[in-house]
Amino acid sequence: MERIIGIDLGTTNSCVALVEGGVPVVLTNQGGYKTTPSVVAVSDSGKRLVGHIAKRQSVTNAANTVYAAKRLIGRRWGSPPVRTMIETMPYTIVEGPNNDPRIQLRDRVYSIPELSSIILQEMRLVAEEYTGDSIQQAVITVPAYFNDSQRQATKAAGEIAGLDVLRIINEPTAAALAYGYGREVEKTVAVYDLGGGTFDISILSISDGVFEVLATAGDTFLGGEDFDGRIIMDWLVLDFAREHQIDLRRDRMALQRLRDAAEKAKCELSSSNETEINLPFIISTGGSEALHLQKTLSRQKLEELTVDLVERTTKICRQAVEEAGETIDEVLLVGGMTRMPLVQQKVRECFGLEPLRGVHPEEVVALGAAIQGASLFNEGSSALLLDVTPHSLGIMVHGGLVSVVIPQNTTVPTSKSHIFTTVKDNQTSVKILVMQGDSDLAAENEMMGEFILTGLRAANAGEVEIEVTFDNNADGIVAVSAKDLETGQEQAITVTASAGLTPEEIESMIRENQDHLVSRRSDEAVETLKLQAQRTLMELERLFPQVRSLLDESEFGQDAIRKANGVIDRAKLAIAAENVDELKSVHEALNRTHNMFKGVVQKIG
Amino acid sequence: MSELDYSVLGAWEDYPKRNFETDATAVDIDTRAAFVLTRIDGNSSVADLCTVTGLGERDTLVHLKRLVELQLVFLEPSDGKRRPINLRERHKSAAPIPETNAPDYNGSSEADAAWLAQFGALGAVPGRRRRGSGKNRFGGLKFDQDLLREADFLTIEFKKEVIFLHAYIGQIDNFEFFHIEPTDDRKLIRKAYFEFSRRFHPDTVFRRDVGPYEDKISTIFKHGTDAYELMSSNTAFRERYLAAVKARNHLMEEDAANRRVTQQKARLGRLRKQSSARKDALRARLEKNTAVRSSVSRDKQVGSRLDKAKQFYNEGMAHFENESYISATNSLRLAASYDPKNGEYSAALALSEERMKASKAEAQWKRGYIQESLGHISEALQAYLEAADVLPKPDYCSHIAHLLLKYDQDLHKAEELALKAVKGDPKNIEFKLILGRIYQQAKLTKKAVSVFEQVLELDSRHAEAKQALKKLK
Repeated sequence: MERIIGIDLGTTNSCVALVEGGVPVVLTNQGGYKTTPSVVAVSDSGKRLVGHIAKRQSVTNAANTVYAAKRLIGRRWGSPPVRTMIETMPYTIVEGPNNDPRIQLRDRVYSIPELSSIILQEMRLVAEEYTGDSIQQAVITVPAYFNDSQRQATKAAGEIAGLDVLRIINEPTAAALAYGYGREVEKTVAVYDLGGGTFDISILSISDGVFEVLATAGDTFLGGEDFDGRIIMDWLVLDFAREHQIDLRRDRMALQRLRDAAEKAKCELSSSNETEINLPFIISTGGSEALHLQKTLSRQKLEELTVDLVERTTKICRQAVEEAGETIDEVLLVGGMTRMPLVQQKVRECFGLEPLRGVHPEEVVALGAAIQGASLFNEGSSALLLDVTPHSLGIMVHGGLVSVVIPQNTTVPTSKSHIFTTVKDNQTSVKILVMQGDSDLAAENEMMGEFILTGLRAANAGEVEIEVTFDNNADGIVAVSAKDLETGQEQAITVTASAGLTPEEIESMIRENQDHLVSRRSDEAVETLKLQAQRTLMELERLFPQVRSLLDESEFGQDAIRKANGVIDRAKLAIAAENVDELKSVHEALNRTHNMFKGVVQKIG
Repeated sequence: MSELDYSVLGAWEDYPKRNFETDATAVDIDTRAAFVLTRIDGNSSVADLCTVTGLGERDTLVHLKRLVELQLVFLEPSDGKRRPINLRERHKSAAPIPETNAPDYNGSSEADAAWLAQFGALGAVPGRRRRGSGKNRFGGLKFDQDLLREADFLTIEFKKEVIFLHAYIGQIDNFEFFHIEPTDDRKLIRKAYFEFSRRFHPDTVFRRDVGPYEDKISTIFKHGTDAYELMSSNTAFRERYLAAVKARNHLMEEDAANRRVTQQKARLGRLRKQSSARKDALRARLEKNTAVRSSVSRDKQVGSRLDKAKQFYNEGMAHFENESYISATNSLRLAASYDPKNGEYSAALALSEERMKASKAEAQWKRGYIQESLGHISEALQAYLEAADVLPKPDYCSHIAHLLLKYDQDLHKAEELALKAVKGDPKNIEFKLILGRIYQQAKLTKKAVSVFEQVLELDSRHAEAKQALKKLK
């Protein structure tokens, strides 16, 4: 049977899970951790680093270490979130050829899906290590409030990583799946998901393994990163500037250290009331003198700095509850940020319910994704997800307004039609602009595509009827068609948001990535061969004095020693060169010599 | 496989039956043929069998043919109209036939129908229900057998459901669509929708090769979701829609009840005709027999005729005393025919005949009474009418008239009988009242008035008559 993994591609951490014999399990990486930091870096030597190792070296290599790339995925160059990121991130964000943000690492520019694919690849390797088998298929989660282009870009990332992405599902929905899977619950559940970069609230009705999303809302640019930002910008940097008249943000390394310290402090304050931020030699004053940063942060201060962010989330919650129109039986907390006491308190106040404990906020999403993956190919008692459109879909009409065809929170798959008409006399063509978003103004929404319907009958304004049909399938692919009801003339497009990449680009990235995977796998092979060779070499060197004294007397013996010396030299060279083929051939020679030595010692000694 | 010769199998309507003289364990058949064999119960026709096995028509026929050739099964021709087996012909007519002549009910009111129309197909309450139960669950839809053979992943039953729902989208109401009774309970509707989703969500056939079913399932799911969303979130819609469906169902039930009544009437008429025909035939036979006998006896001596008459008379009187009036009548009839001039004989015959009629009528009447008390009105009427036919006693006639009136049946017959009753006993107020009620029901005011006035003449203080007169005037 095909193994399908579920990947929670998070802003700060990623997680991978698998359903094994009906039980979903989170897989641990080589370091023994269940989550892997979503960090990618390129080292001095041009080597790609991912995960914990990339995070560890981030302080010394800040400009070439990418984290929180998810906040940029599927976004347009020049959009407010991208501008904020350019200001605050230590790495360099440049404009890509398709009006998309890209990131420069050393001498190469990477697209965002490409960077995400590196993380996905890592998660895939974790799973392959666990199963000892190649993994091809995956379900990847995204914040519920992601729009179409962000979803498409995530899917593209999966493809670049060589994965067949069965489905992109929403993080809160995945969490609910993990919560309701395999138990008989009949409840209305609110999932409050405050992660590293995004906030989502989803309300689901669960019954007999069917999960119906009633409402979903959120903010794709509100998460733990923003809480860290408050600690850094509003407190550490400001106070430091007041004291020393130095802007720490100018120094990338300092900024990275601040970032790490802020994250650590925030986490510590979830369990203690006070924490120390201690950053010696944070910056040099230009002379030989260095400045240190040492401050104490209290939980109260942190809450003061971030209370408005938390309140922003509860406001969105109330809106979603109203939209769902049902009483909430249970509140589920998802995402690392929900460990913060203030968040828990505000959620309790907002819903009037004690949030559910017993689910691991950082792992539950990946588990849900794995469950969805298994359910797609399983019959019988599996889970069925009735997901909804997170944003309204419509077309732009006269006056720059949007006429919604598929409203927000409509269960997918769905298809809906509206009749539109012409606004000018003798108008023979109409332009259909497909929009996504929740504003009435077209300008505030995301444009997904456009096409022109021509060949309309010349008539007075308002006489020609044009039927516009939106078809949204369960994979989130939107097809739009327009039809002149009189002439039967029809035009249609399938909206495939470019994800900032052309198909050719994706194609070439997939190839390149495969090369990388091969080299990475051969790296491992080299490593094992090297270790083996070194071990044999040590053994040989241990036996050498004994053998030499025994063989030195005969001519044959001297010849054997000479040969052995040759082999040892060759092996040393091969180990230094890290060449697979040479290592393999040397490996055999070494073994032969080793056997010979052992034989001599046994026979004579 | 080349074209099979199905002539050995005969017609679709034939009944395959097991031949228990051949031992099934002794012959060489594969498991599928054996399975077909197990499905043969003697009550299903060849066509039924093809549906029951789920193997598809062609395969079923192949196996059936083999079973017939092995003499494990023989085919019993049915009496009905027979269509010889021809797969090709059958396929052509197997496409769904959309109903066009459905009666047009507009729900509870025109305003409601207009209001519901704004929701398009989702708001339309079609004129009839299509889903029955049991054998009728697909509303008599004919399935395309080629289509049913596709997509092995799905069960036959599910494929049929898909084809049914897809063929009737917009032609069956939303409750029928979800297979639930019309209800206003949101929870029940949700439950039904969840069950529906479990079966029809496109994820259930995710990346599976289900060919033509994929689009159908998707269309059905979308329609179901739209219907559910509308019914669960829009209270005004739900209320009006429910009212319209209920009104439609009520109309349909009434319609069905009316149809049942007319069918019963027709049956009654048919039975009556049959019974009178039987009687005529009997009479004719009797006359013929008598004629033959008399012609035979004419050749004989007069003396012996008188002797025979005397003999039959004695026999008849013995029966008469034993109260077996039928035998008595028969014997006396023979006696009277042998010696027609004997007044004693004919008087005895007349008396016996009268007694026979009375007992016959009484027996019929008893039968009718039992049927009526069981609630089988048409059977009861049938028996009563036969009793009244034999012996038109006024109280018999009046009771039948009363029943006919009560169950809204043939008023002319009722009038005829009531008149008979009144004529038989002009002083009986009850009989007159029934006649009056019949006229009243038939809207023959003048006649009704005169009857009720007659009642008042007999009893000037009769309350019902007074009231009826007042109403009529």
